[in-house]
Amino acid sequence: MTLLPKLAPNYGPLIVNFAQREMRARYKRSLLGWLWSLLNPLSTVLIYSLVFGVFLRTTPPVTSNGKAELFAIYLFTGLVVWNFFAAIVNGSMDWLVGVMDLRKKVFFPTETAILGGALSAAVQSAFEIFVLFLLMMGLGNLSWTFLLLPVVLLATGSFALGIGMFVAGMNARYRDIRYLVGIALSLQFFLVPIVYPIGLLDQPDLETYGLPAKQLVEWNPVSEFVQAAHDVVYFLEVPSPQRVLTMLAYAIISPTLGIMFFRRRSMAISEEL
Amino acid sequence: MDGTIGNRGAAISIKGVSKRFSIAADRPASLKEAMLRRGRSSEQEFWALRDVSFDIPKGSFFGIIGHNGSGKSTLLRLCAGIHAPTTGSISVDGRVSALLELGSGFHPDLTGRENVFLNGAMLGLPKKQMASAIDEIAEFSGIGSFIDSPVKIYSSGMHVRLGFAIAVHVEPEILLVDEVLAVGDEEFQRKCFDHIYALRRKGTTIVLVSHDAGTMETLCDEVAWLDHGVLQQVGRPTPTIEAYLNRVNEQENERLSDEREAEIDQVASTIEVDDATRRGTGEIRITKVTFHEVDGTPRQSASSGDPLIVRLWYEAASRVRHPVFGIGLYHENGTHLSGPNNKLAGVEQPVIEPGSGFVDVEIDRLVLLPGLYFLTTGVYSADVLHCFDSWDRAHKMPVQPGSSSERYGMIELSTRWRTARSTS
Repeated sequence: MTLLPKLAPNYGPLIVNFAQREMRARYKRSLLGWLWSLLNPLSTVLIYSLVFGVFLRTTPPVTSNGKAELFAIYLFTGLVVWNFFAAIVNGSMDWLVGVMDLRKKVFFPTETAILGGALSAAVQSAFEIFVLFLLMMGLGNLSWTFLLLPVVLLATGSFALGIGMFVAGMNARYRDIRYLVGIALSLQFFLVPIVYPIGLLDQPDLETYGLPAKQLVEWNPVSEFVQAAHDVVYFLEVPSPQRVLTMLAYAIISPTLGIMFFRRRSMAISEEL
Repeated sequence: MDGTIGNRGAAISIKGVSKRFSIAADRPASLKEAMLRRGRSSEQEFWALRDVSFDIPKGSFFGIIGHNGSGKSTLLRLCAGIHAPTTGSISVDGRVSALLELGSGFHPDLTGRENVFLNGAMLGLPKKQMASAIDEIAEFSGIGSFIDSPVKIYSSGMHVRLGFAIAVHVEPEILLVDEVLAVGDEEFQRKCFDHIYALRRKGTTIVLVSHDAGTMETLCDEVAWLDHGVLQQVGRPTPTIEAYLNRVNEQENERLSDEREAEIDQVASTIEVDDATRRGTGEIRITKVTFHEVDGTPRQSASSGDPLIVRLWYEAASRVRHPVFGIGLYHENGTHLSGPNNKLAGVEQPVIEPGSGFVDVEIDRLVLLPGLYFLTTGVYSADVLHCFDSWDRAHKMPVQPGSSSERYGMIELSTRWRTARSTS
């Protein structure tokens, strides 16, 4: 007797279905619709550029073609990675809660909702990559290494999915998790070299008040992904082998643990939500 | 594998399955609550299924029968993969399509068409296959142009029809149906059954959950009977359903006799109705009224036209000299029929010492016709001026048909009828 279905059902269409739903819902009833996918990151870049580039005078590192001008470009590169990471971690909880009514009536693996949501986040990222590409082309700071950016984002997404599944599974039981994640993400944003160059932490007169600021940033998993993006888009160089291996490890271990936790919890989740 | 039908094995194999639900009304929803409550288990448990084991053979039409709360729907949900068993295992061999409840698996904001695709995707079917089935589904469900309207505006009938249309058109290998066939108009029901039969001929395993013995017996090859989450019997439909019905009848009889006993209790003892109906100084009180045969055997009701003893049980709190006991007889419509007492009958009661006892009222022939009557009881002083206890219509006296041949009105008038005599 076979214990498992002969053919594992193909849940690809379901993931796509969830992704489409998410995308349609995102700009439903808005006049500009998809334009917001471009306007949102652009406005963020303008605001941060104003605050950090003009008021706080953060100096960006020198670009590969020797023109160390626009802080906005440096910022935007990091933001593309960060946005993708944060969208998946934050969204996972909502995506799971959003399908629970359905899951109470029909069986389907609930991780498809998270994967579908992540897919919709990836589409958003694709827009941002396109904008970044146009900017870099305009500045003449472009090389084949730009093609590695999607790979870096893929690894970021994989890492984020593991965390997303963990927090989504926890949030099913305790709705406090959503708020804790919100706080952790706002902190995390500043522990990653997005609005400042990583070199800032090497300044001898940096006062950290006894906090291991440098370690918090350097050992931060998300920093690796953001710096890798800086490598391939801003400095136009291939990331160091060490960085590549580290990212690879994060991108494999995180979703493995995440799905293990999620699968173990998923049946209970359908009775809890 | 010991498949009962052919040797094709089990489509669903249920092994030692138990399912516990926690009645989660006050489950901690936040970390704070969870912390505060640690160590105190406030969750109540409820076992919906206990150690259920059986196989559902491939290609069979299988029924699961039981009254409400027997766990049959829970079992179907476990088979559909919606819940996981607490202990034991369920192995399902084949693609399952389930019709569990009204509009199951629909997203209210999506259109009918989008929901068709969503449902297909949830079953792991490629979009192409759903695209080719969509016209047939729209046609079968008869919802016409509504297929492109959001499901939330559908009527409940449209919900069910679309749900059924999808469930049977995704070519399931196993179809789980939970009583939904009872919904919809007759024409649609017939269409559903036709389709189910067609699926069955194609070899689809069909599992139907119902408490309707008739449907189950005609449709099913095999029936499992659950009672309070425990498997009672599984096998051929006729004997299983017979056993189920016997149990249902037994329980019904028990319930009825319980009710009857409860009623009899009310007859035999004083009901603390409404103190407004009771008055008196209470030196002596009538606590209950019972009915007896002439030989003293208790009975639960009186019977029309037969002798009866009405026994008035009293409790005297202090010494009472020659009290007068009386009863008032009322029809349930309030008509006062009679009011005898021992003084009027020329009997004097002795001096009653504190304690309890009874006074019998012997009726040679009860002239009341069948119906419900009420008794008022009273105890008065020897001169009938002072009331020790009077309780208005506090005791029920049901009168059943007896030896009296009369049928109309309230009382039997002992009559002799002569034959007709001609005067012309």
